Amino acid sequence: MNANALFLAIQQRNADYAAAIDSGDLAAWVELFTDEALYLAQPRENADRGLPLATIRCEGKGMLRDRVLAIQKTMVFTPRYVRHIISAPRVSGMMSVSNFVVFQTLHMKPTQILATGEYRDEWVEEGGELKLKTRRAVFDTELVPNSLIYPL
Amino acid sequence: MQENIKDPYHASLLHVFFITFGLFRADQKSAIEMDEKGRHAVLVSRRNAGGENKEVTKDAGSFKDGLKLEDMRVMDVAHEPWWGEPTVVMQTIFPSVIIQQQINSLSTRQIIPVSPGVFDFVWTHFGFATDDEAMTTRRLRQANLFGPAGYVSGDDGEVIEFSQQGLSAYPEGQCVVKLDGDGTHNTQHMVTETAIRAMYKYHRETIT
Repeated sequence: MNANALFLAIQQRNADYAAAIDSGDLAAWVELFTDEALYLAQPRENADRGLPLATIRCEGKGMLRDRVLAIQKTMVFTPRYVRHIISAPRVSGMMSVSNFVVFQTLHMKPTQILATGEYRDEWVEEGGELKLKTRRAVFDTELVPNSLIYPL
Repeated sequence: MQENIKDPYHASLLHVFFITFGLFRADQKSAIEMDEKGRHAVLVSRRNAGGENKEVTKDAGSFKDGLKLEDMRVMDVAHEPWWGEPTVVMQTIFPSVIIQQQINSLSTRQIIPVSPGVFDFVWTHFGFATDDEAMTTRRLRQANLFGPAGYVSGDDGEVIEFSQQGLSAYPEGQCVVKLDGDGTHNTQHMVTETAIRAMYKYHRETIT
């Protein structure tokens, strides 16, 4: 894949990523990752200090699917919409960094910013498709408005 | 939030994840112990299949049969010698600190008042300098249960918010918690809000 094609392919995958979560199709969210992928939602404070703790940590598709199971079957929370806005990627080899904003809307409440931050990604091509090998969603918004239900 | 930890019974009713995966049930062998003034409390319990206090929990209905984790590494519990017998110890230190051990996950929670009805909640997870890499990784995986996205504690923030909104409609009202009578004594089970009553008893004697 040449650089332009890769840039466009990453944009497309990020659009798919936003659509999967925002529409509630979390099974499609899982399929954007490789089998052994690492997904972290990590406060910037920890990322900057080299501390490993993440607010959400999924190692591999099994843990990603378990997170989906928890959201869909076990966790108790107020229904909400989330909306991901993802910037154009800054691409370097098979790595990229994109900014994100995630808005959250609770029933009959004004829309609020749930988090801003950046995705630090590593991509691989699998069967002609780009997949996430690593996505670290490093978020600036360390004071989470109550809870973080859906993935960033 | 202190009330949340001092009310162990809610865990069996609310936290589907806890009860379904056998981490915490109100019928486990357990105890609630307080300091002599009822300010600080410790909830101590032992993970097992449950059943030692079956009579008091027969109506707890949050158990969901048939749910399984695909990747059990999140629940890979390794006993550490300093635990002794308990697998969960939740300490509430009046008025604003919680120190918790829940299996291998260790953390503190700090309540920082902001304004009436509003507080910030700061989670700090920790391990020991002597932990090997496997133990650190285990603690990081188990951290999925706690914090604002926690399989368990995510529920608490949400339900406390529901409750606060519900109660705010009745500012002149009073809320009385009388499960297990109205005592403020230590207990050998968790089907009680004795530690909440003891804290407010101390609060009223001291502050009002």
